[in-house]
Formats: sequence, structure tokens, C-alpha cells
Amino acid sequence: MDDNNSSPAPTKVDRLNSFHPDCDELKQQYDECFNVWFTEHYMNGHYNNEGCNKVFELYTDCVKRGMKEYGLQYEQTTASHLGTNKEKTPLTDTENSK
Amino acid sequence: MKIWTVQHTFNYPWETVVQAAWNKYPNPMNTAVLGIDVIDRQVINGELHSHRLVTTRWTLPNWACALMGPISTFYASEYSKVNRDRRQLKLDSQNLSLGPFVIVREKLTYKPHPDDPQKTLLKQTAYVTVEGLPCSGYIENILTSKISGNAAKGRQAIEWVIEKLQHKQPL
Repeated sequence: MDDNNSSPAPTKVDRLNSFHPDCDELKQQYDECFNVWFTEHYMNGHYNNEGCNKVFELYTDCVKRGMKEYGLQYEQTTASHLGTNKEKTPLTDTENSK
Repeated sequence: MKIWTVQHTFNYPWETVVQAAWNKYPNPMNTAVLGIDVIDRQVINGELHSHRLVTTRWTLPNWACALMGPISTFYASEYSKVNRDRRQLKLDSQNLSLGPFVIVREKLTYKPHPDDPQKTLLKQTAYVTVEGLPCSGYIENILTSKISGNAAKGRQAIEWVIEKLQHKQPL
């Protein structure tokens, strides 16, 4: 959360890398697919995202493998958020969504 | 526990701000964010749910160096929901590193400004809990102050990304 004062601002970098080098290429492919889908489809009310499914599976499998390798538990990341039904309710409430 | 909260109005419609929020990193204001990876993502009843791993690099203050050793890469878990129909984006993040001594949880909501739907209101709240360390209250104050500073940079970053996107493609 704090900035690394010893690094110059990466003004020329226009994308983030994956946390694990093995996943970086898949991340770039997936992000590209997702960004197009989000802008052109999701925001226009078309929610089907099958076009990105294949690369999504490969990429998230890689991320989960990488997390295991680095000792970051997938369960830990899910448990720390919205962990109770009480907290989940307001976010998943879709009754006013139409 | 320290609770810090702020509201900010962007002079752009929600759709523009949300697209900028997805493309927020990298930016020259928040150089600590090294990577964001998707762990899981799905659309449920029209809501886009995303679970992401955020990788950051910090310059550690001395108290943390003494505690953690020379670690400089930290991970956080972020859960978000976009509801296009209700024009709402919610993000909820919490650190994975430094736990269980330090828990920093941040919640952000972007939705149309109640007085002007062409503007977007951001509500941001951070909860900082430090336990089991000497000077817990002091450390909570330092972290809260850092969060406040970085949140201001984050808002500037959104504006910066919007300008960048608008030069590339009219939204």
C-alpha cells in the first residue's frame, strides 16, 4: 500500500505483470480478452463470457498453482472476505437490479 | 481498531469511472502495486464477481522490519462486485501478509451521485487492527495515515486513467 520510494515511477509501463512469472503470458492474454468483454459486452448487458473461458481456466489454474508454490492459501484468501452470511447478504441482494 | 472513511465525487458518469477502476494499475501515483491476478471470476444474476490477488511492494518502517525481517512483497485479497443494472461497484480487500498481527481491510463503493447521476460518488472505509504487538495504537495511527495518503493518490490515479482512456477511445 505504500509506495516504494527507491523506485522511479513506472510511467512507461502500461500493464501489470502476474505475481508469478509462469502466469504472466496467460495473464496478458486473459486481461486483453476480459477488457474487451467488459467494455463491449458486459457494460451493454450481455453477460455471456464464453469467449474468454479457455484462457481464463488456464490462467486461474496457473495462479492457484503459483499461490500454492508461494505458500499463499487459496482458502485463506476466500475466508478473509465476506466470510459470514450476514456480510454477504447486502452485496448479493439483487432484488432491485431490474 | 481504527476506522477511517472518506467520500469523493468524480465528475464523470459511473460507467466511465468503473472502466477506469478496472484499468487503474499501473499508474504513476500508486507505484507500490506490482501485480493483480484473478483467482476467480463469474457472473451471477448479472453481477460480475471477481476475486483477485493484489501484489504490492512496500518500504518497510523499522518496526515492521524488526518484526517480519527483510520482506518487501506483500499480498492482499480483493473481492469485488459490479452490478451494471444498479450502477454499483463494490470492492473489499484485506491483507494476507502481516496477519494476524496486522489486519487492514478496505471497502470501496462507487455509485452514481445521488444529486447528479452524471457524477460518481466514491465511499471508502478502512479498518485497521493491530494486535499482539507493542505500541499497537501507534502502529494503527501510522497505517491509517498511510492509507489516507494512498487513497488520495488512488483517486488521482482514477482521474489519470480516465484522461488516458479518453485520449485512446471516447467512452
